[in-house]
Amino acid sequence: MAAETGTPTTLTLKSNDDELFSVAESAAILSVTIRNMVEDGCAGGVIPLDNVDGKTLASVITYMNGISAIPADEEKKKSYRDKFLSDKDFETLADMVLAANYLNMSCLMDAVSAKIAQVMEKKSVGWVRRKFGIENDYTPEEEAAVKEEHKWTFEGVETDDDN
Amino acid sequence: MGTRIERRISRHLPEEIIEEILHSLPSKSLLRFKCVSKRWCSFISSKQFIKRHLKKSKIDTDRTNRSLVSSFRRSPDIVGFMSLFRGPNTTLDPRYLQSLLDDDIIATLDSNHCCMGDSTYDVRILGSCNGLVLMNIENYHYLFLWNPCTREIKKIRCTRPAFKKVYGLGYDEYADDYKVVCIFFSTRRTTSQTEVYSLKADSWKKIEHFDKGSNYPPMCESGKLVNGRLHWLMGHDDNDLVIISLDLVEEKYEIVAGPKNTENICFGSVLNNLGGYLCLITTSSVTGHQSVWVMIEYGQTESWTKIWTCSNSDDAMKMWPLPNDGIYNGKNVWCKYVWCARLVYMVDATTEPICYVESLVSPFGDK
Repeated sequence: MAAETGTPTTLTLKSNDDELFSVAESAAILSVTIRNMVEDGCAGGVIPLDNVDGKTLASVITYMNGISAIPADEEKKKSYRDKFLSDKDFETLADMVLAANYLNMSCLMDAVSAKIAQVMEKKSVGWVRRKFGIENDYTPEEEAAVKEEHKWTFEGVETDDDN
Repeated sequence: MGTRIERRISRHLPEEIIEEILHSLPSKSLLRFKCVSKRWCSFISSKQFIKRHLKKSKIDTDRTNRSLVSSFRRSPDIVGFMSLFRGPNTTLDPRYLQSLLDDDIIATLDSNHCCMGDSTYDVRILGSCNGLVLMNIENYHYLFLWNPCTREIKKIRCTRPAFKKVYGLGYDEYADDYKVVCIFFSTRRTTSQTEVYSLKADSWKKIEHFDKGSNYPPMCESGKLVNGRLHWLMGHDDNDLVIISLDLVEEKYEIVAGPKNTENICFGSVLNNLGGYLCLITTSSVTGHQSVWVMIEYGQTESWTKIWTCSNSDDAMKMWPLPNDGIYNGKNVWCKYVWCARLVYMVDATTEPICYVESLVSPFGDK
């Protein structure tokens, strides 16, 4: 245990594309998944994270280090999360939310979900179908009827640029 | 079909994550995304989703999904119109009001509630709860339960004549039912009668009348919803403030003691909900100073705390709570215990604006 040695323990995480990352245990245990492994004594060697690629894992580790350096101040943590996510595009955010879900990091999960919602807010129906990979199962008549019922919600929708 | 999406609909994100994301979207976007697929439509329309979405909206610390609604008189000859505040100058189209009176009560407008015009209706806003707004129109024997966000409106018949009627709208968590309360006064100083309309039952019933303390009619038309109870500030004849509360589950009245040491005689007092707290704005008849009191711990008389006093009576003509838990007095915004220097654009409303959370809750109950 870290407390016994007196020096910070470092864990090695391995992404599904075989990249290795060193991270302080105190930051890594923000992930409940990793914490459980540490507590179960499975963190001796390299921790394989089969559902996270290297690019996303690097980003998650940046977040882990950043957020754990902030003392218990919810306002500051929130503004760090906002800044951390501010320049991420939809695909990156989608990877992040999957990683946060797999790593069981509820704060990151909530923040990324809210950020994706913010990105989606003014997007068109077509954009959402493409980004979420959803097939339109309405007949043209059915779709027109649903649209007619909520016509005013189509005002102010951004034109699709697929970003 | 179950309300939870069981099947993977996306090769990108699993459905439980999509659900989380949808809970964070504003109501307007969700209504639009009913067009994405049948599955999204049934999910967004499901009662379970609407409840979870509401819960999330209510705890949103940024208060981005709150709006104000108020009614106005533009000139002495009763030209009434309503306004929804999200940004400045967003006013409800009076054609929309006209549609309330027609049989076709679901209006479809092409503008974003933004056009202004004349209307001959005197609309009063009587309360709000979970995104539903209760209102009536003078000389018109209906109440309207309106979700400004989904634009659904339900007419509720309310025909009994009375010298004065006061109202309230609330939610009975136990029965999962929305309730409209109407207190009837036949003359200035008589005992009142109370009837409660249940959205689930779609009918009115009489409940116990209020027989404690003052029998003067309340000083405002709309009951204030705090802690699952509706509150009215009753008229008084001996300088004492009497606040009555109605528990919407039990349908029983109680008295809530007002603050002690309210300095001299208070008149023109206003009761409200300030960021979830019972709030009383009092005016001293001696100094004209206005004070804002908040009951920090609900039901604890000694927890009434004076959070602000306004000494300039010009500043204190009107004082209304705002969606960001601040107070607006026609000039400045007071919020989070400091005065903000910034001015707020607000037309001179003739009635106190009411704040509502944007939600998908249907005024028709469970369809």
